[in-house]
Amino acid sequence: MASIEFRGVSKRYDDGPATVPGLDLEIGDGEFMVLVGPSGCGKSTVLRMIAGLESITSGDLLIGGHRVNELPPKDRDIAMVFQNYALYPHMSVFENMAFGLRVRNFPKLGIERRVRDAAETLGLSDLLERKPGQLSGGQCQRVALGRAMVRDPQVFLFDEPLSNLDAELRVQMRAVIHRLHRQLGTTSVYVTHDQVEAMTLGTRIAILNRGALMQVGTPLELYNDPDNTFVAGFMGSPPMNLVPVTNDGTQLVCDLLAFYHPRAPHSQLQGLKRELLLGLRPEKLVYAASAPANWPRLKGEIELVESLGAEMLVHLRAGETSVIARLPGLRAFTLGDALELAFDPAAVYLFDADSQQRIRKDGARAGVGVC
Amino acid sequence: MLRSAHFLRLFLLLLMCAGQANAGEILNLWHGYRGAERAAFEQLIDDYNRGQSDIQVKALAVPFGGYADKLSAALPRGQGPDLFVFAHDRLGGWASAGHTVAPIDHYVGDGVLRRFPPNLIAAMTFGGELYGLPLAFKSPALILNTDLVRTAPASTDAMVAEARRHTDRKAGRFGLAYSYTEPFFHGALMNSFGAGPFDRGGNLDLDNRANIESVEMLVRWVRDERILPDEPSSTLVTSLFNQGRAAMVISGPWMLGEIAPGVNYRVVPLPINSQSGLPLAPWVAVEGLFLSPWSKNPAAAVAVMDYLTSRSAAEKMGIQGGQLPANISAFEHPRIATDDTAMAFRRQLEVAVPIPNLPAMTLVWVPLENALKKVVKGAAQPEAEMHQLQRQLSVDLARLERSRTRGNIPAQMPAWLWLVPLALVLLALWAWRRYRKPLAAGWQANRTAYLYVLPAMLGMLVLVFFPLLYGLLLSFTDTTVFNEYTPLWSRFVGLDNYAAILGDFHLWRGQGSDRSIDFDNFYWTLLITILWTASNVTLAVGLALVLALALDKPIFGRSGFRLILILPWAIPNYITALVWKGMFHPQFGVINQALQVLGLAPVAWFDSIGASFVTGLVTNVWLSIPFMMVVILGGLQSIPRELYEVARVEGAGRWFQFRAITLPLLKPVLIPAVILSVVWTFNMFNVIYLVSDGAPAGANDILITKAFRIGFEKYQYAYAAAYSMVILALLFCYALWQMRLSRTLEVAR
Repeated sequence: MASIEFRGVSKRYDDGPATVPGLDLEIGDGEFMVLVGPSGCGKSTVLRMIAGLESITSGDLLIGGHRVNELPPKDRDIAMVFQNYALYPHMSVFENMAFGLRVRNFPKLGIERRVRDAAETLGLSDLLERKPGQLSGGQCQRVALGRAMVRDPQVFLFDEPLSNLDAELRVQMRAVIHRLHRQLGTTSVYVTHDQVEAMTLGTRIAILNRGALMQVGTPLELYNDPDNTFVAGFMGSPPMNLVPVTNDGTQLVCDLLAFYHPRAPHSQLQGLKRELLLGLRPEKLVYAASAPANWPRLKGEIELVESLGAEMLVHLRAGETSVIARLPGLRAFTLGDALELAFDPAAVYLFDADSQQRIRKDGARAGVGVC
Repeated sequence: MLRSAHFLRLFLLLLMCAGQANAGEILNLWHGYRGAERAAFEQLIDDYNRGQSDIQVKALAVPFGGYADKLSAALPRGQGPDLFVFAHDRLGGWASAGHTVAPIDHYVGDGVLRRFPPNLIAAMTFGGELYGLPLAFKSPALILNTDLVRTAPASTDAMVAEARRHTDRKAGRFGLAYSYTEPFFHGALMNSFGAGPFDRGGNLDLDNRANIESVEMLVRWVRDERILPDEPSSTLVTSLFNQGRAAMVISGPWMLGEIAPGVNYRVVPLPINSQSGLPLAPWVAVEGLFLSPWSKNPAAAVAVMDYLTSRSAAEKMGIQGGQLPANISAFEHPRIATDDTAMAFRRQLEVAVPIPNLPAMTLVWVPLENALKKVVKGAAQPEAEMHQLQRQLSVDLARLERSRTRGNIPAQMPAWLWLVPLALVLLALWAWRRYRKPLAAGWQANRTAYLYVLPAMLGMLVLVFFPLLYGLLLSFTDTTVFNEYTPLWSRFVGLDNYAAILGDFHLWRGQGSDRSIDFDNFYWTLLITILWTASNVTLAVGLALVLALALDKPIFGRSGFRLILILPWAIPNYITALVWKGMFHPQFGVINQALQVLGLAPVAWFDSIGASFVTGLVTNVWLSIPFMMVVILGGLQSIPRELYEVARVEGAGRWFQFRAITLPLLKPVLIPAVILSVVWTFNMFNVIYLVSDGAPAGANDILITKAFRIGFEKYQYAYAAAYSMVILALLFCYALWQMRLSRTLEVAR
């Protein structure tokens, strides 16, 4: 097992703009780091740089404290799992899993034992003689995991391994990966664009956008304390409501609400810019009737109701502004009706409309709310 | 455009026929003339038609390519012209097959015969009967480059001495050049020793002392005097003469039009053979007018012959048509008498010998040429080789003779043969009863599909299944050129041909020091075919794989390389084959010249079995690579990149990746490509025929070229058909085996 460290690593293809402009990131020994971000954000490039499948344009990459920039993939002692499994169609499950060991000239008996152990762990014991063509997607991905496991490498790399699976299998496989990591404790880097996977699997999550690191932290840190609108909007489903508001010095105003912050002294609002973004998680909105009287209200027209069974997502709109609220239970709404909701002022996040950065009280990182 | 012009002409012709129906009797005349000869000939016919009103002659110029076949096909069936113009060497074949030419002795008086020299009359005579009147003659003579050679050599010794002075092999200069391995040209030497391929009784007599001496003399000229170029084709002879690199050539009037304007030349008769004291007597080809046995008015037809061979007609053909007229009185005309060239050919005619018009002569050309090639290369001794040739041709002739005698027996259709159509009808009835319902149901359900398939099925029926069935039927007969018009059942011999092909295990022929492999043996040819196929496919696939692997990488100029490598595919393969043949020419080919530049010894490419095999191999591999490469490139690009990335991460080197990933994953495209390539190569006629031509002496023939030679050089059609059926069976077995193999692989995948 080993730690991984990026020191100002950048990647540029030909003369184009940098795919990864300069990454500083430390992945601890035994940690499960999830790289998450939208398509094309450079997360796969980062992973492939760790694997040695992409060269590094500048900066240093260290694995286990050693610089590995020029080290070929085979000498990095890593294993990689691909989105489309990358199984050899002409080899049996056993041969696929034994591939890495065979390449490294392991003794036959050792190969047999290791493959059978891994197959046992992954529930593949009955499938060892089959060819990949005769397996389901989930089984294929387990074989790919097995192939990565048997060599007992320092680092596991996962490149969107669950994207090709259906929803149910994805949940199952997530559990398998989670269990494996707990058992083996191997340093793992996992690339996905699915924030649910990121939240459920990661010890820590690194959010990337256009090659730049937006924020690194535990899932809860990212969820509760986003540094910017990108992180705020990326984590959580549905994402955080980001409402453009105007600061008139005493209160924050938009079509939906006029928000006078009881705990914020005038001077503080006065110190802020005129155009802000107000962030509010959908689940923090409650029916006005059941909320304390001093909670701010917002009022709008019901535009859409998505029923999820135990709860529902209600889209409210007033003028140019709209929010989504996650409300409990089932209630019959008529589209177009007015609805009044309330929220805890402490659950509000404020962002600079220009820089999209979070506005924190006295620059503090921890704690909830600005104000 | 051309075709419509043709139709228009035909239409006008028909109109004229209708208009002239009452004007007189119509005689049809076919000829193969073109250009000035045709114009002069048709002018003569017009004059004739205008000069009298009883007979109207209608001339049809038949394109030369299919002329002989057209005559052979039409005449025995009572169709075709009343009169036709053709070279005399086919006369024997036609006369003995019957129903093709008619004797004209009854209609021709001595006065007419006196127009022609006796040797030209002999050319028109077969079995003691006269079948036509000679019209023109063509024979080789000696052509001198007068800038190099002033006086005509009087004897062969003088000619050789003169030639030696003008020979500088390193500079590519030769004293003498002619296609000396072609029997037509060797005839001059052969006849000058007083013999020929046949004795007076018309029996094959190739290995008599005189003929052997003629071959020995040729071998001396080529191997000891070294005055002649290697592999002399007519194109090479012409180009050497035009470049001033051949002081003397032996060729005929056909070459005169190709001599470059700046070259000064003179035609003289061939010299006296210093050894025998007789003049070199070249073979002369005589163009004659022949009479169809079906002509309704033979007397009128012969009258037309008389007119066309008259002195005035001969003068016109000589002056306007550029012919050498057979009516030698035409040479007295001042315009011809002052033409040195024409007069030289006239003098040459005095000693020239007509090409034997015996049917067996058609069998002599190719084997004699092969034998000559062999001896001039030193691969065989003249005497042994001529004995060998005599033995081999006697066997072939005996086979043809057997078929002819069989054809002469007026065979009644055997009674049991009626069982065949009866059995077929019964089979059809049974099949109809058995499959009527599913057939009707299938037709109802998929009518559109059947209609779509119909044109293709009809095409296949006519172009594939019918010839196949006919070939199969033919293979159970002993059909040859001699008996092809007799009823099929009279030629039936059962499995004799197959037994002769498959049961001949005499791989060696001759005794003692003469012992050599019989290259005509089926098993030798099969061995060569298998070696040819295996080596070609292995090399082509191997090289294509290497190239495809190189081009699969993003190297600089990749698309340019791809284009260049695919280009040979766009060139018709016979052109590529001819280009390679030229490059392998032992003396003038670029390959040997390159070898010499590198300080290596030139290779006599077509002299040994191995080297000759290599010429075909190189050409065919060159031709096969583009297809293989495109297929393999496609296969390579369909292998997901991740498979290689996993391998790199897992620590596999390039060789391991190639062995464990590339090769197994290419199998699905490689196997069909290899199957196709095996079938194509197995039957690759063009490359063998055009490049090595089976050299030396048919050793490198593959089954398909051998079948061609048996059919069209030995005229044993049925034997060739049986040969083809054996080839088909071999390929069929191979395809079955390959399909089973790929099915197992499929299951395994």
